[in-house]
Amino acid sequence: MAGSSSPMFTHPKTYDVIVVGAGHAGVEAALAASRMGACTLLTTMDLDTIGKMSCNPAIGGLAKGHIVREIDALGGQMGLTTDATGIQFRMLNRKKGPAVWAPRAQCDKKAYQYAMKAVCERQSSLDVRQAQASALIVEGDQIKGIETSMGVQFLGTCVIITTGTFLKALMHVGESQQRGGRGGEPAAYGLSDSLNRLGFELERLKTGTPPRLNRHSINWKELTVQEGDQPTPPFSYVHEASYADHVVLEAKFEADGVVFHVEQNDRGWRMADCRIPPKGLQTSKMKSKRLPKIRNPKSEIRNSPWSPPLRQLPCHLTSTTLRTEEIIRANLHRSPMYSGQIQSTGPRYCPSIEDKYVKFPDKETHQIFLEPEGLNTDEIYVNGCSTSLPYDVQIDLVHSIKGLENAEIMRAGYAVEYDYAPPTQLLPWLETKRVKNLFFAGQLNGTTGYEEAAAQGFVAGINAALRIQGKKPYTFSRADSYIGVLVDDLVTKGTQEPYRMFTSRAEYRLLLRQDNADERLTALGFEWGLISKERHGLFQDKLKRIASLRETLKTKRLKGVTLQQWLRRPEVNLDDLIMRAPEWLADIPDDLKASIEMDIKYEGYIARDMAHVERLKKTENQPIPEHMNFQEIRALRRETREKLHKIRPQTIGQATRISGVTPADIGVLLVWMKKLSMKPQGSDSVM
Amino acid sequence: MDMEETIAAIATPLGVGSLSVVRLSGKTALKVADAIFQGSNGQPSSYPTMTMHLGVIHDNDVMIDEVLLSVMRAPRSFTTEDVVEISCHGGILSAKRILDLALKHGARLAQPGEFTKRAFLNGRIDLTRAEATLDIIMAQTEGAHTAAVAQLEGHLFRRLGKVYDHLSNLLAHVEAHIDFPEEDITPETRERIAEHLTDAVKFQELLIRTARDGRVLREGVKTIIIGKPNVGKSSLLNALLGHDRAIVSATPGTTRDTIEEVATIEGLPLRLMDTAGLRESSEEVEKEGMSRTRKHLQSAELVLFMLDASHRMDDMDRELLALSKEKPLIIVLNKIDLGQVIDSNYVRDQTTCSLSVKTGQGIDDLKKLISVHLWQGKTRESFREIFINTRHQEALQRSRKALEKAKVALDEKRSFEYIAADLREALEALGEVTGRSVTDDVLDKIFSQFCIGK
Repeated sequence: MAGSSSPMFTHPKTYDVIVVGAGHAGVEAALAASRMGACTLLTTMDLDTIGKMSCNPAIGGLAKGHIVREIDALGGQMGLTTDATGIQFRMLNRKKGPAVWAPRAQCDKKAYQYAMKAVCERQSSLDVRQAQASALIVEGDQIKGIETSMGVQFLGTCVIITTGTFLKALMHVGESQQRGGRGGEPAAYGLSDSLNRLGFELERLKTGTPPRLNRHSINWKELTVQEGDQPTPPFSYVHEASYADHVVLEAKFEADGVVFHVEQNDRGWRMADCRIPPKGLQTSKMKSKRLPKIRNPKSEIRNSPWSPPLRQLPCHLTSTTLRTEEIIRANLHRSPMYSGQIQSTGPRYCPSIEDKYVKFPDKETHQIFLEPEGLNTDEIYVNGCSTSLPYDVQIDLVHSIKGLENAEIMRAGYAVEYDYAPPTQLLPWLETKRVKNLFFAGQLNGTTGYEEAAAQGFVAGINAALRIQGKKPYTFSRADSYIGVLVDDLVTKGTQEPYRMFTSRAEYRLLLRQDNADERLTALGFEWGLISKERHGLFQDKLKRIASLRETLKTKRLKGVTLQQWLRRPEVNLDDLIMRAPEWLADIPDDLKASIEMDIKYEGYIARDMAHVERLKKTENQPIPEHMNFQEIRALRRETREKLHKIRPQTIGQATRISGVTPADIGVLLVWMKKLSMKPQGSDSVM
Repeated sequence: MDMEETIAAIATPLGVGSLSVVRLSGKTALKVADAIFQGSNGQPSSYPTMTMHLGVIHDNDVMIDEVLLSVMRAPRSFTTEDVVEISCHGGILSAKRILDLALKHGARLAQPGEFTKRAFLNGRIDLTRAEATLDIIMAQTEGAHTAAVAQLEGHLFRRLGKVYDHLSNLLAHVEAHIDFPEEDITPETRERIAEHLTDAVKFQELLIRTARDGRVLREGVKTIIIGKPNVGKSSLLNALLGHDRAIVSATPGTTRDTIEEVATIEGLPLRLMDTAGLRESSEEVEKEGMSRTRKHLQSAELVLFMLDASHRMDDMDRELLALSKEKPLIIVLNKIDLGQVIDSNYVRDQTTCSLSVKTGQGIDDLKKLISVHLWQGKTRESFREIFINTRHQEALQRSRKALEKAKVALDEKRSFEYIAADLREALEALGEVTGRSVTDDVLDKIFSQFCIGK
């Protein structure tokens, strides 16, 4: 289908995979596909916004941090770039059990974005082009490529759409409305219409962002300081002590120069899992930065915490006041959310400050975090103060917050409405049901968050590459990763508000931990060629070390009781044992302690979850035939038939998770499937 | 609908025939049978296929019934899985208790048509039969749907809903505390959570007890009349039944077998068992009857202990009384028309009723006492709506078990994510009955109760 009548120029080079959009989803998609050997094109409206952090200057947090660890364990990019550009690292929930610890980092926004750009530019098999996709080229039920607003056709086998909030995006600041997907950037129009013409449903969602303030206008003395953790917990497994070797991918933004450059050692790129060393980089310019070689592995491991390449900065805490509430209440009629100007749904877990006061009238003050946007910018992000109130009200509002009495707003907060494609239109590997070889990923699917976007981009990227290789698509399971939970929730249940991951969405939270993502997923990344041999070797060594430690705990005794039995007691922790039995337990890298302790301390819980997982796997291994006609199973209630028809579950397991589908319905489905398999093909239904 | 689980159900129509069959099918069918069956020749898991064995079903040490157990091993069974069939005495009670016991030991209640469905899916039966099964399932789906709607309006559902809400609130607190460490959410203290858990367990116990009440309403309470020979047990039975059922004779030891009849007391069913008089005897049959009485006493839910008011208590009375005191007990002082000789101090702290079966004096008082005991002061009206069934009861018991684990975890000062895991298990069990999705409900609660927004 041609999107325009003007004569087209068809780009001479054709691609295996074309990725439209270079945000967090697009970048992971393009890198994964190209690293798996697919000849890949990454297009974006503006090359300077590759990997741009549109909202908060941070990566990770509960569940989101878990996702980043999983992407890293699989050989994705987000964790490495976060480590390279982070300016504050923390492990959240340290006071609780290791199952719910989660890494979070403040990043230098610009450094992150340009590091991502540099990684993409240097990736072999990947072309990066500035181009705005305006239509999709489809023949029959298959995607063939894209058309751009400049009248160029790029042809490719697979196309991954990751357009974020840009489709028909409309920004609101008070009564003022402006077309655009992000402050200062335009919206994308053609693509929505093209998707509509192809029969895709599109709906509207809303999200928002707070104002940014000038650092110098803030009265810092009033505020509570929040420092990062020491030692700094990295995101990437390759930076952990247990990998006993290090890669340094360091990005630095030099304030005085125009040049942004990424430094790395020659081994580093391989370790960072770009399969082929970057193009056009002089080896002599590479600065090698490695931790000292291990002489005595035992003492070295303990004392070799990774240290972040960038200077670290604190965040600050403050809070709104009674005056804030007065200002909001007096101006609520001017908020587009309350005047009726915005109808679409926003996320409940990320409410605007006006929402917070309206929905929680008993809470007089709300917590506000002031987060630096980078080392070389004076902009400060006001976390917790997302708003779309008019500009003049935003000024008063900010001034009512403790410490911000004279603060200057550099950019106003705004709300943005955009088109999203309800994700029930997708298969569990994010390919559309309607058009073959066309994939959707990221905020387009109704999610929110960099991490959720990156995970989907990764899933789409590897599946596009698998398609090129002629292999079967890969579906992540709810039992192996948050990525699996995310994709399954999206394609099975859809979403009515911007979807964010929470640990409570995972049935097997005690299994899906941030400390064991590599144990769950690295073998898979290796199989796909996304994990280098070196890294895989280090991972194997780590597994061996864990096994031998478990053996020690099982066999060695203190006062006649095995160490394992000691550890089962609620009041005894691994550190207690290490102090008492240093001859057996010395030199356990910190990042291993949690895993080892978890597995023993909570083995009852873990065993219970594992039993559930086994049962889940049985149902997941029961595929539903691809061309199953659910509508003809008249033994099912009409409502159930329609749901099954719409979602088209791939397995019995997925079918059980569709809301409103009962065990009895599944029973009918199983009998029907068995019947089909027993009957000669083409015979009529008797039910 | 998990094909891996072992399923159990009563395979014969309820309340018909002199035999009832409880059927188990699945990987652990033999294991479950091992746990509840004591054979004269070893354990079910050691029996060869296609054999039948005599033994007893027991709950710990309490005997439930004497049964015949058949073993059909995979793949040569109806479902092609390991199958155990337990033939027990007819009537609903025995089969129901055996089924409950099997569920307690890890089997899941089979869904309508599920044995046939398994047989079909495992290739054991042909299409025609499978289609009939499908009709059953279909009918049951519609039926279950209607029933679910009815229950939505019902008393039970409201009550279950209340526990569910209470627990999901609690889980929402714990989850918010876990998932949003950077928000200023003050978690409930451990003490408060413990209180909530205790409340929830109490509430669930109440509901589980209504399962008993519901059963009482439908099936009656097993009541045993105990006393020395010739104290008037059979006469009392007849008086309560309102017609002559047992053979009444002035010769001690006339009642050699156990007689069971359903009496209607204040409109509620009472399963009355008259027993052979308990006393030392050289007669074999008599002995048999007495040992049976001892066993019946163990499974009784109410004991009417009879004394002759016109005589002093002897050692045997005292011995029997001690035995009876382990059960809910009403002491009946009979023959007051002959004058009270007995020293009632012995039974001062028990519910006591003085009467004369012969003259009918005091019989109505006894009926009132029984009724009060059965309903524990509640009105019959309040039970009209309750129809908690085995499935509900099983879900509630699983839920309560998980809550008790949560309490232990709290006591051991475990971190909140473990308490959350137990709470979630408890909620999911309830969700099976109420048809709710725990994750969605908990997230809804979090966002309506906490201002999350970093």
